[in-house]
Amino acid sequence: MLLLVEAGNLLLLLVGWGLVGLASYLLIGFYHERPSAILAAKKAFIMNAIGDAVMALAFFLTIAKVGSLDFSTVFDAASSGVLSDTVVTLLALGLLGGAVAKSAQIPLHTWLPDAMEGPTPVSALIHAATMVTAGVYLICRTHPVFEAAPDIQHLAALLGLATLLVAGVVALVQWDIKRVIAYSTMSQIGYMFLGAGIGAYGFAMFHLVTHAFFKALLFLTAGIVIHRFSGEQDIRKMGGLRKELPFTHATFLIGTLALVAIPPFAGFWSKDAILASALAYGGALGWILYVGGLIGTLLTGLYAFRLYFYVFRGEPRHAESEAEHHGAGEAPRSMTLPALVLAIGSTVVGFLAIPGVWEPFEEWLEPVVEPLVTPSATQEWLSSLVAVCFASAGIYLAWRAFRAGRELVREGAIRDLLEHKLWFDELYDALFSRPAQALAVRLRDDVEQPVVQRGLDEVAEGTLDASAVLGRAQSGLLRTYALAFAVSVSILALVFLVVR
Amino acid sequence: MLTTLLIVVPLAAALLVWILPLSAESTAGLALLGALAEVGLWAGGARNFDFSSQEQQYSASREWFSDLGISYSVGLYGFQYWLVGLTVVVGAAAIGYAMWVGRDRPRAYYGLVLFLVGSLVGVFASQDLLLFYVFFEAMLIPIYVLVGVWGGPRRVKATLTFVLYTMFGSLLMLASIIAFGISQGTFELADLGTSSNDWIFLGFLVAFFVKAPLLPFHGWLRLSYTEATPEVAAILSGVVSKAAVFGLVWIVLPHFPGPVDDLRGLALVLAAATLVYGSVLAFRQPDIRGVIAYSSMAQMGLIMLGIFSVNDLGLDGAILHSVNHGLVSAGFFLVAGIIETRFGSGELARLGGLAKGRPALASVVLILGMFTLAVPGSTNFAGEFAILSGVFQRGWGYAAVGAAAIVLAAMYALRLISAILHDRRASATRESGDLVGGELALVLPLVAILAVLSAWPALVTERSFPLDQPTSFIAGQEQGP
Repeated sequence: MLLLVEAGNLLLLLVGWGLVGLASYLLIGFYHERPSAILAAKKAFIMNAIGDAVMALAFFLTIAKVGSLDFSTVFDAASSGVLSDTVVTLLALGLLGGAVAKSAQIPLHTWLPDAMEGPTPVSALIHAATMVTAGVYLICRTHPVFEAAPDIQHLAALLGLATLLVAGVVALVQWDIKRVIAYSTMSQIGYMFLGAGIGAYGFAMFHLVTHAFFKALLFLTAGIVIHRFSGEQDIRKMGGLRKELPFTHATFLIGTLALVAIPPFAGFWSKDAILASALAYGGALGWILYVGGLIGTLLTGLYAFRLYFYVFRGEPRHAESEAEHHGAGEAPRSMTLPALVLAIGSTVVGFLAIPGVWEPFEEWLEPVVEPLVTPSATQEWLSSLVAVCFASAGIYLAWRAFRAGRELVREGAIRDLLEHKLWFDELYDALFSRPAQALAVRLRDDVEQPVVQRGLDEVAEGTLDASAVLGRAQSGLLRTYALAFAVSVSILALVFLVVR
Repeated sequence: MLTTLLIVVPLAAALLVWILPLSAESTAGLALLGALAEVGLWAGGARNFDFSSQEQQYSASREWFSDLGISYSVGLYGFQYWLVGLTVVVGAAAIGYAMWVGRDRPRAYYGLVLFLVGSLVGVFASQDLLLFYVFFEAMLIPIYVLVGVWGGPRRVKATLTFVLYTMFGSLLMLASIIAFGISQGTFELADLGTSSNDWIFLGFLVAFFVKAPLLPFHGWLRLSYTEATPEVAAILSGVVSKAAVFGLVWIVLPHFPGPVDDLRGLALVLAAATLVYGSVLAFRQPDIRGVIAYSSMAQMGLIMLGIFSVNDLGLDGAILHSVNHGLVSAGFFLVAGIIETRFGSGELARLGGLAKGRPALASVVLILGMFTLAVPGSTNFAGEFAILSGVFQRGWGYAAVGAAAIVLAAMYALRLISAILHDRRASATRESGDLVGGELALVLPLVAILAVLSAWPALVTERSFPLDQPTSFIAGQEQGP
């Protein structure tokens, strides 16, 4: 991961990129006796391999056209207009392909929820805080390329928007505590893509940082909860933990509030800055992104607090004897201390960018990434107000549904659609996985076996037969030899006469 | 002098092993000693090898048939030195493996393996066409016997197909060699000029495509790699296939620039097709060795892409990837053999769940699998990247196919890893423990070399051709020194 971030050229970045992917594969498959974990690990690796391959293609193009993979050389070539539009567009597209796969954005997003098969601390570290956000880093780091290909940059923003909405609605119906958080990760990275796609690099990176704090916090506290239930991850079997685990409850709530972007928690400052940038970006695109982003905050409020209510409020729904308990009461300090640190982070990191008052974070990034849009302080505060209203509405609706004991999405076609995660898995299965396997089997059974191998058998048997026939000639009978000799000589003599 | 020594030492050891009436253990020990001495010789030679020099090194030349212009002429350039290094290392690992498993009629067996190693070194060191042919044929004889006598249940058929294919290729090549040599009045590679004769060119091309193998010429591959003993399969796929690399880089490219230019498209298409075909077939093979066999085929297709891109990146990548693939596939065949011995079967359906309680085995399989799929950062990735960016300059389509093959490689390698290590615990998974010291001693050196190359791929790429300029070096070769 550090190699990825500190790399000074694209190739080294790709090496780090691949190695974090490898680590991710190994860690998702950590419980290697669980078939689902191994499947998830393979899926994650292959999805990322697709991204890597697309990115590598872009690099080949770069080598052919620029002759170097050094950041500064490539950026100079991209921004000076030496390269044709097509080349820059393809290069940006390749980079975007890699970023989309790594950061689990549509259309290469389906691996992330499954990746929750890994141990929870792993989810906290690489599938929430660091590795999955590498795509955002990549876009920000290579922004001159994307600026030279604005269409692709807008595509990044739109993919981000699509992902944040899809992930938001799918999260509404999930029952697995870690999957809900995973979908929220996808959706938050969607915000980052949105920000990076309109050139608000500083805010995208800022959201990356704040998100790392509150998402790691959510995962770790979720880990405490799962530990409490001896590995149970279904939120329908939880409930009423507020009294039993007061500290966990408090920290989880902080994380949730930060996620939903309620002031003064960290997520508020970063997410609303991205939304304000969309507003400042203006035009049809800016408005689409802004409105979509607002709907996203509403969804965030809904699913995040649905989760919170299910786990911590209401009456305990788990039927178990006290003996099964992992010891009643709060988790051990080794689990709560990290949560405490992250909770503090989730609270104060946001103050690194108070619009109009104190904005050191953007200044830090200024030398490397000049933002394309800078919202005015008024826009920021105004947009924040609207966003908080949307988020609060989401919380309120979640609370009402919970009070009434209703699900957020009623039974029916829509719920069905959401529970199947919009059928993405099935679609890819039918479109790629199955045909690839069928092709492999067809090639093996219909081409390689009958044509190549069996054809060979016949040749081989033919040779054996021929040698058997010839072997029979080796009879050892002098008479036969003499006859053969005489016949051959006469034939040769005949041929000799005729040719002459 | 050293080159001659590198050829003679294994041959002499072969003779010694074969003649001396020693017990099975002592025979194996002597053979291993010979193989290790060879490795030591190579490593010692590497210290004095001047990789920056334009000159052939450790060369030796002796008139043989002066009338025909045939001479015993051997010598090494950088890329040859790496191929020889690959040979001696894999050879030593193979003999070590045979020693660990134990083979019937050990004197003949080890004698033949050493003979094979010596001939291979000869192939990679030849600087004379006919001498190359002699070694090329000499290396086939021990393979026939090793597969035909010590192979698996279908060994006769395997040997027969192998003989048919290689004979076909060899005869074409012999005709080409004679035609080429007679027309030029010499067989010395350095003195031979260029030729634009398509037929002579095709004779060489087909022989090397059979050896590699490339798509329509691969019929021998499956049976030979499955029926041979694992260590012979390791040498076959790891080293013998590289004779094609040597032949193409050192005979075809320098001496047939015109035909190469004309038919490059065809060769590249075949190579790309091989890459995809091998990868797809590897994805649905029922046993470990089947997967490695077709994966080998795919990797050879990739290497051919590098060679026929005929530019610096592609050629450097092809040499590096030859070394990588040799080590990885040899390592994998040995591991396949270990698994077959321990669990009685290499069929994936009967394996699974081996990771539990066997950390060393799991790590080895996982590491080799990751090298196979060329995870970024590995030396295989470096080779693959160089090859594909080289071939990109010949046409983006080839590189796109190559990139698709990256995904396919991930699919078959992960499937193989999971089928061996994870999944359900199947019937063949008897209570057999983890790898022991001897087995690790076989595989770990290969992995260690791969690790070194991963950290420093330029060790090979910058030291394969004088001045690190493969294309101009090869193009300049036909004028002679």
